[in-house]
Amino acid sequence: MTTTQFTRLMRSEGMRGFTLMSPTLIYALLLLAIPIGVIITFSFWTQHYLDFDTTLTLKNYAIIWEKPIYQTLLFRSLIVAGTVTLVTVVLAYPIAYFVAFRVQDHKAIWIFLITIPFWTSYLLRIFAWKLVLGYDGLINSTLINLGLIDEPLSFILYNMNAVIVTLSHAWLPFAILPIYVSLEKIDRSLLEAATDLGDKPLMRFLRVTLPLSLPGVIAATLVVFIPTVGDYVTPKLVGGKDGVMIANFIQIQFGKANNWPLGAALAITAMVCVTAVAVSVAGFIKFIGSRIR
Amino acid sequence: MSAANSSNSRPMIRVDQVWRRFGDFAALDGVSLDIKSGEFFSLLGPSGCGKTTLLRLIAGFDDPTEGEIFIDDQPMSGVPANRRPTNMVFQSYAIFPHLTVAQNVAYGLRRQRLSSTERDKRVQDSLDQVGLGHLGARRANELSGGQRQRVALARALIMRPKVLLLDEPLSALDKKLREHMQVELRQLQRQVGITFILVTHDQEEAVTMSDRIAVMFGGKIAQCDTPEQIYQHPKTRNVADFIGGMNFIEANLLDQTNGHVTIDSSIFGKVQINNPHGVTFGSSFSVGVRPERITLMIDSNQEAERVIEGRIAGASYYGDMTYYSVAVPGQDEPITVSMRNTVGRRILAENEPVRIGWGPESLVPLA
Amino acid sequence: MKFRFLTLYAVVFMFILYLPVLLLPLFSFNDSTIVAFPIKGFTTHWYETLLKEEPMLLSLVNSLKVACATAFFSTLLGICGARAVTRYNFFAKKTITAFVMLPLVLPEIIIAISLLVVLLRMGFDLSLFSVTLGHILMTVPFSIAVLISSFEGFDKSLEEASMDLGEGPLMTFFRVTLPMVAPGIVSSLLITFTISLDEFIVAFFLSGTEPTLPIYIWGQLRFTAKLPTVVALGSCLLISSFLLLWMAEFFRRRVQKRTGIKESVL
Repeated sequence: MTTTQFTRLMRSEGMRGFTLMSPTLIYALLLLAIPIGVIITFSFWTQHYLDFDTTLTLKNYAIIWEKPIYQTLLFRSLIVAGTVTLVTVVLAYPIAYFVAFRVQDHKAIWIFLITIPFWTSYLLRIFAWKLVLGYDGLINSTLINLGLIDEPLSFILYNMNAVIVTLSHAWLPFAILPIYVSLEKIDRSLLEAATDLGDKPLMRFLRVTLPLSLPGVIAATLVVFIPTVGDYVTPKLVGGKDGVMIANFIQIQFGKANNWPLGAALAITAMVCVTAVAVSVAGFIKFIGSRIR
Repeated sequence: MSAANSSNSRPMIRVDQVWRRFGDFAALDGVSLDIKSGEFFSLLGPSGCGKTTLLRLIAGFDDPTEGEIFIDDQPMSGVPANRRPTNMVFQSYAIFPHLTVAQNVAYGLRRQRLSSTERDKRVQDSLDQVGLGHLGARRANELSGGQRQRVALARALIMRPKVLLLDEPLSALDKKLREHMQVELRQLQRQVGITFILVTHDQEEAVTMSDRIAVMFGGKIAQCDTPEQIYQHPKTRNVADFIGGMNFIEANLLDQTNGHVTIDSSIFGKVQINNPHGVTFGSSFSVGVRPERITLMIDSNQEAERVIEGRIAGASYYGDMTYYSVAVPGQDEPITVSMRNTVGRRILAENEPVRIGWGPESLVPLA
Repeated sequence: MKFRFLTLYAVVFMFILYLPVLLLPLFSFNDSTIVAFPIKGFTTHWYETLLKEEPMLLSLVNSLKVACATAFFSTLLGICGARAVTRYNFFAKKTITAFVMLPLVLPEIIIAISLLVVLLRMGFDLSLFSVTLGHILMTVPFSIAVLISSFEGFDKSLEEASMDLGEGPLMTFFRVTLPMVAPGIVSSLLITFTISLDEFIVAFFLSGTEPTLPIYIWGQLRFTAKLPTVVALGSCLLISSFLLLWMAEFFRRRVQKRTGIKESVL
């Protein structure tokens, strides 16, 4: 390549964009792609005390496949995350709709107020739920004061339901954003056109608004479902024994149990399952959307 | 001129003393209007004049603050947009992006519970009607501007509305396509025979397409008439200024009788002119004269009824026409005169002395 | 009818959204060693003990160090990324962008353990530096998202006008682009700072012997006697997060006013 050709290439729009993007890209490659590659490699190793046996083996995956505890954990994590996602999206949609279509002025302030809780300390928000659900918490003391119960309810904290409630609450603000954005983007004249062609409000919602907001619903599903499967803090703080999830077990492998390869294999398995479920759910929602006439 | 007059003169739409206020601002200021069945009717005016507001009131997307709209003798207050016998072609076309062309066109048929074969047939007929018969399976986002406009038309017409409402339907198209669509829309309207109401700010569009035009300013209808009447006999200075070019000359009133006014002006002198709208004028007002209704007399042997002497102050060349500004003694603004560029005719130079020939029938008194 | 139902829903929703978090300030002033109902009486005692907690102050300093470094570097990377995405078309743009934004949806524990394994295998000691590396990775997508919204409304012809008037690309960036999007950059700094300050999982795995504030809080949660002090600390954190975010929003709105976009989110 001659010098002029090279200069021309470097000056081309594509190359300039690429150059500009490269620091960010290199950072993500070094600290995300390579580490994940390493983790994948690790999952095929084995560990004896402090030494790693680098012979590639499927042993870790075999353990995960054979021991019911891992399948139960994985399944529970998926169920919890799935339920949380469903609850979150269903509760978030009306709020996103409200802000997009009913609020006339100060939409940004509404969105700001809705999203702040998401940015405040995750740890503290989860902890605050202990104050709501606990033995002497808000719910129990309110119910006792109202005379509805005599003894504090003990079944509302330290179980799977507590995990679901807490996680849903934690992720609600974040789920609203993509749904709101997709609703806000809908050209209002499309809604008028639907009315003009004879649709009542409910039919118009089902035939126009809902299908056009599905990309937002899918995005919300993904941004809630994937991270919650791997949540560590919530099960640890409010989950009790029945609420333990896969992340807690992964942490144990990297901590007390000191079996990094098994931990890595658990993490990879979880990621593969999550991706598979997420992709099929997104595909399913899209399919449903395409059936709407 | 119009097909409407011959067929039926019953009003399809009656707008009766309609007001629409937004806070203190009156977007519509007591508008009354009859639109006949089968008429191609245009609402014309600058942006903010209330024409789109009126169209949206007819469609049912908005309610009048006062007054009533009747469609086919039925009062429309309380009737939602989805129950009105009107359909709309939106300015943005509002083609549903998640549906194909055929699904878009079939959208409104759902309530009619047709068999799928009959539905498909009607969709196909409707698409054929607008010349898109082959594009049914396309996605909305794969269409050009002109095609989107046709889909919007087909989607509205398939509903067999009594009235088709068109909100600036051609404003998004380029000039060539727009002129083509003007002709096509007009033919389509003749073919289906229903009432079309067109909202536009483009005077040329309104003049070439409509049976009648309502010119609106500031929430009021300034004049409602055939294009020819509006062009030749504008009622007010606003209307005259909005449609075509017009020279305005200040005049004093000497006398007014039934159908005539006698005026005195610095350049035309004392002259009696027609007052077709029977307006009562104050002591001073404007008189309008179109650039093509006066002649530039370049040959010394040319004769005219009345003549004004002047000098060429400037020329704008438009290809088929040249517009000359002619400075005339006693008049601050030069007078614009148009001249056809026929074979062998030269472009006059600045400062060349010329004579303008005119007659009283070219002068229009303006309120 | 429908309008009122949705409004009611929105009000109840907002109430429940804020309810748990608002319990923290409530209990922080409660004159009782047990963090539970009923409320006993008013005290500022817990805030006083908080100020005497040496380890807390140390962890706060650690957190501030990490958050400052994170905010600076992730915003720097964010500027490059957002600018490239909004201004240029380049090879595999979609794939690259998606990859860079990936930490937004990846479970934090995956980021944490993969970084842990690599850093330890490469012989690094866990420290505040390793936490910062992880935080930068996590916050770059947020920075990009915030900055894209300010870069997007930016009219390209303003830059072209500057070039036309004789400035080179670099000076154009400093004289036109940067002043226009400066509020967006401030907003990105504040948001990434806040996220880093509050982040737990990555810090939990990567902090080694130098705890950040959330790690300190996590440690204290086990001791019932310490809870009132933690609640007081949490209240302070909440207030400061709120203020930081409010400022971030303020600056983000400024840039949108300047570039003339109407209200938008992210």
